[in-house]
Amino acid sequence: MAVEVIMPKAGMDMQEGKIIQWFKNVGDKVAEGDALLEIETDKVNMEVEAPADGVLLAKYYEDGEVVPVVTVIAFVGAEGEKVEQPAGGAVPAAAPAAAAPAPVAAPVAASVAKAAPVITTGYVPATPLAKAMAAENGISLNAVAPTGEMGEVKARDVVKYLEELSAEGKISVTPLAKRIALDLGVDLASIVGTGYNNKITKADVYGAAKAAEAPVVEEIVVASVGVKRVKLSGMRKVVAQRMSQSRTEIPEVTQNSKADVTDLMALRAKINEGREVKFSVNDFVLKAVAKALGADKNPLVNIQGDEIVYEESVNLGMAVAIDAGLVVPVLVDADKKSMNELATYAKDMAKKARAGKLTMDEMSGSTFTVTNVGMYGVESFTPIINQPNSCILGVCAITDEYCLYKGEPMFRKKLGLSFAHDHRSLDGAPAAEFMQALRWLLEHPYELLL
Amino acid sequence: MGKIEMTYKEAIREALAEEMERDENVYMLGEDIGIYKGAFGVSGDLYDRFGPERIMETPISETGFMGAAIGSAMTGMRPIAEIMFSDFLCVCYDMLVNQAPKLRYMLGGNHSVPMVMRTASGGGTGAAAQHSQSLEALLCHTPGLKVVIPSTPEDAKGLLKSSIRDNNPVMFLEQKLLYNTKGLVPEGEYTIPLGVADIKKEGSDCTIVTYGRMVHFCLGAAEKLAAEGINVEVIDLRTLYPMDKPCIIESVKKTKHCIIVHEAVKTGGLGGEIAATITESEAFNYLDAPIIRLASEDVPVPFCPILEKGVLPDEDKIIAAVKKTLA
Amino acid sequence: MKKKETVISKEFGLKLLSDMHRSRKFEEQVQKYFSLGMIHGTTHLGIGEEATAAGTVAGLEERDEIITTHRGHSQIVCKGVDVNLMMAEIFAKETGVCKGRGGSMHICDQAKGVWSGNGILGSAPPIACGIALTRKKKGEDKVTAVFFGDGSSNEGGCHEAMNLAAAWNLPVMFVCINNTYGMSTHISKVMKNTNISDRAAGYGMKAIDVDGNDVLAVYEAVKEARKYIGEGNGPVLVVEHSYRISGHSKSDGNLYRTKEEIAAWREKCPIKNFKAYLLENGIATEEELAQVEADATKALDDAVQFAIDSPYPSLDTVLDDVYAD
Repeated sequence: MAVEVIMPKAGMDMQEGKIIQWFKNVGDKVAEGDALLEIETDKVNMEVEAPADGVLLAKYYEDGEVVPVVTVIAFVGAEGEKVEQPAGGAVPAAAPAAAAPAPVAAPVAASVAKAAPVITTGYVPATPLAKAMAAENGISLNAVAPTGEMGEVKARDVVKYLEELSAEGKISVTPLAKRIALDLGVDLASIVGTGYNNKITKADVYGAAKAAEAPVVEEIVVASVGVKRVKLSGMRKVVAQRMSQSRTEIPEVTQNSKADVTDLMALRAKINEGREVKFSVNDFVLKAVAKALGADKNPLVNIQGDEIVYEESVNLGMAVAIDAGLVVPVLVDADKKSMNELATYAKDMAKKARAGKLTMDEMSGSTFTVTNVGMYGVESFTPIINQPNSCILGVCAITDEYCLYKGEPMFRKKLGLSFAHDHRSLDGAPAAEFMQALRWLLEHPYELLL
Repeated sequence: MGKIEMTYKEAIREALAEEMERDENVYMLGEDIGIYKGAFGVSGDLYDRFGPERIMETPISETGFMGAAIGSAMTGMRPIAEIMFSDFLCVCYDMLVNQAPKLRYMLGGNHSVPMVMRTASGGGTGAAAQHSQSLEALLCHTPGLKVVIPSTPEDAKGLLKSSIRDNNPVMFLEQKLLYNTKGLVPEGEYTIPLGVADIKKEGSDCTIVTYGRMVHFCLGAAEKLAAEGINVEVIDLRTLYPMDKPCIIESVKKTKHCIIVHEAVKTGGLGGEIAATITESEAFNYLDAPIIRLASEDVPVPFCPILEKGVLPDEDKIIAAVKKTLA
Repeated sequence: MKKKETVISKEFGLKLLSDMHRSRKFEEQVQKYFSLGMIHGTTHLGIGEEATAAGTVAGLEERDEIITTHRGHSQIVCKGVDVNLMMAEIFAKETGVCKGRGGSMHICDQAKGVWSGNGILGSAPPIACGIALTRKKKGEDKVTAVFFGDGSSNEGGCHEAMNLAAAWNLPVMFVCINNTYGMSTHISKVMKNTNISDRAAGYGMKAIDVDGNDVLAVYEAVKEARKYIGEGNGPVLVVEHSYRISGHSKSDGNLYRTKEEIAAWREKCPIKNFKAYLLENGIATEEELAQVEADATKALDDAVQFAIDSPYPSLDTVLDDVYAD
């Protein structure tokens, strides 16, 4: 019996995926777990694996095509077996998009995952008993259909879900893996274990979590003699495409200016005295940007197709360099956070980014980007706008400048700011006004604590 | 040990007589408890048997004789003061709140106040708002007091004997509508420890925590629910302070659902305390529905019998609540 | 001070004087250390009322029992309770008579027949009836003396207790210290008949009025009442007329009385007058009087030192004694 290969849904807000390239042709023999093709989602690239041993019987889409999620894109089965593309392309069982993500059984990336692990986000109302049972069984409440009077998940709903799972095959999991799955919000039901009798192990859970967040950059050496050639793939490829696209599409203007941060540095030193976790300069800048944007939303405007979109939320994208490239976790509603909350939020996100544990959702929805290269001594640069944002603030180094301050010559600490904006949606004057407000905040740092 | 049938009132009288026989320091005082035999007839023949020195008829002077009971308890007697209606506790509230429960602690543990305050509590008699209240929540809010509320003749006798022997002030809330109800009482000497609840009916689907007169409503509802295949567990707390929390917690862990039924008004009532006890405990993680409190409406007890009945929980309301929590 | 027909012994005279000095010194120390912020809470001092305490206690038998009011230090000192332990209680220390649980208003010592002070006005008299009831039931010859003020004489509990004690013929002595002010309110504002002893007749009870600043007069009156009660005649009301020179409590601004009035009563100081009496009648010498005062001063200095040196109770014990086993 032939097995479907579908376009996997790899995140809460993923609607479609693009086929970057097929690794196999129709008629090729494949083993379960072989990479069949590579796809690109909104943020990451991942490989789709063969769901079974056999032959690639059919493929319905070619390289470069964009396919809605859960659409059947190929079949793997016995040689000579007849298959037909399902009407509309979608997998019947998985058709209702609103249904629990667990049944989306598409093999992706890491060899252990049979579907994109469900990341628990958002609060699921559930009775205490239902919560306790879900925790004990290592399942995510997001996957359970609620029947409670007030829309809450009740114990019977969890029981029903568990029964359905056990009809498909019981979840066998080590206690440690269960706990880790719960911490990471990974639905065990979506993982095929690699342990004895398919028991899910710690490694399986980490693998599944990673698959959903940041695919591995694989090095494939194709040539030698002094030069290492690495196939452009995964995150590098996405970064490359996006940077080119931004530079090509956007008439970008960069305004360079400097803010006097002498007082800010003094305040920071004072506040950090005795604090276990210190505030960084970047924390102050993030806070100032959030506050400035809270008061002036012009820079949040962006162009999508032939529409201007006026964003309301101050969601700061924060560029973080990691080994595999660059990721931009998002600080949601940054203007509504106190200095302390925002600093903690930023540190958590940076930490997750470096550990490769960011979820798709944590990388979605930015309305403004901040990128900081100050620690490398850069004094000014022209940052590339992170689409669909129309602005990016490049934070540069702090330098000691001998200048006139209130009529007296003295050394002052100056922070370089390189602010790039999309001139299609934001003109120079409003951009400059925003920067003026931002500098004022940085120069009156106590305002940031109010 | 055999059992004999008697009324709630007779069981109380037996406990009083047995304890007065057993300990010469035990005596009763209160209004019209002698020749009149008590407003509800609880004293019966006690005046004839023990005489006016042991069954002391007091002036209509609750503060005076409650204070006297406290003073004599501090000095070695074991008085049993009868307050005709629990509503009259308010007339001597100082003695109940500032004196009896406080003295031991305030005096550094140098004294104890071993006394029982018996009173007729609850409504249903058409006596209106000054003769019908259920004031147990006020009493449980006073560290130093113990609060007992029996629902059956057997419990009434065993608990009263323990209350009389207890070395603390014990508020013994008799249910006036239960005085003439009958039940089987063990023959001979027995006591029932304070602070231990009784599971009046075991069940697996929903826990009903209740006490006093409402126990019987709950058992009636339980029977009807059983006919529909719903198996409730009825816990009779019997002692409200100290409360048998482990019993409640274990039951809720078993049934995953809980309703609380009491005759006292809902706001500030013990139902809230019981619910909080559950949610503060490990039983919280076993709950599969919100806890429901069934109690009197927040209204002074009305005189008209239709109104009075209407504001109280009854079997139908209990059944509906159980079904709602299990829905 | 009126001349007594009774000739008192030197020993008895010095004992009364010592009790009054100790009472006064006790209050002065409490006042001082309260002002220094070393005593927590509040205190109600009875400076000027020492003769009522010393005379009443002297008129009772040693086995008799008392319940006091919130202003009870003097009565308890005179009953012979260890001033070290009393002072430690007021300093909220573990060594206090109530282990620091009660404070100034709730000092008790069962062995000395002190069934505690009570902070609720009008509530001590009913409880006193109960103590007396026990004594009557057990056939013990002990009288319960309950102290209260002119203010609390208007409390329902006080009236209920007088009626109950009279109806049941209980061995209770109702000792009303009439200092003419219920906190700040003069009795003339709150009673049509300010003669409190008139009330006794309403309950079928004997009453005695006495000058509360004359320690011997108080002693005689209480002795007479004690004899009457001891003979099984039921309760007696003794009204002792005195004056509180100290404020009601530590927050009293004395807005309700004049400096002249206070000064006039200072002249009637019971201690000063009794010392004069002892000298005039040749009962004691100046040196002996000075020695009594010096001893009292030392005893109370020691009591304060003891209290200061004592530890506070451990928080681990805070739940102890809410219930008896």
